[in-house]
Amino acid sequence: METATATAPNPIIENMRNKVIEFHHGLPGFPASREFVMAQEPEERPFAWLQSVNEPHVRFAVVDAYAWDRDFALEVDDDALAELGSLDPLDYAVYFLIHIRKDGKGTTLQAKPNAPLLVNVRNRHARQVVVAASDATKSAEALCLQL
Amino acid sequence: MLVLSRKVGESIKLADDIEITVLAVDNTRVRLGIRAPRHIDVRRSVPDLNVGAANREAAVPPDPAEIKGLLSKAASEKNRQG
Repeated sequence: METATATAPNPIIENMRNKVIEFHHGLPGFPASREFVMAQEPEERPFAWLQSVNEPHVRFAVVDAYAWDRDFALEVDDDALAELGSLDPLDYAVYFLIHIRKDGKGTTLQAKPNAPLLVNVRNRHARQVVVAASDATKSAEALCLQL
Repeated sequence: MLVLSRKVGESIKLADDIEITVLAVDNTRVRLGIRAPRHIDVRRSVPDLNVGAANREAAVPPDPAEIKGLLSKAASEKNRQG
């Protein structure tokens, strides 16, 4: 899969901006939220907001998995890809959900690589996939961004 | 449900190519080794539930003031780190 650099305009995001992304299986924990839109200001790349259409109070910070981790690789079985409408890896964008934590030292953003979001950027069908723990294991430091 | 007893070191086979071995047992915990082809999806049943919990934890508080400018800041920090 192509790696989007953090600073270049991201055609994938441009294609998805203000268009509905459908999670046919819902998002675990939010069964009522099947439709989301992605919002991103240019200076926020490679981060973006994923906003539920069905439940307006539900919003996530996400990051382009390949921009966050250049070595990131994801293996998804063909059945799952077929369900999303394409077997071509180039049709997909992958995002990590981000946990935002505030404490006395500031704000920490932690990417969650064990359950990435897989989005077919052509038809905007998406699902959350669960990655085997060993594949997703990284040092906590590598997953955190301290602000 | 088929119920089997196995001793430590013994295993069971599912079909021709899946083998589950009991590696260790203590009072409340069993350690299992699972050998299966790559295409077999091996999961604990708990993490699926945890994905929901993790997602709920990741959902951002709806207060716009809290998060205004947060991702721009994150992007500059990430770019600075390269």
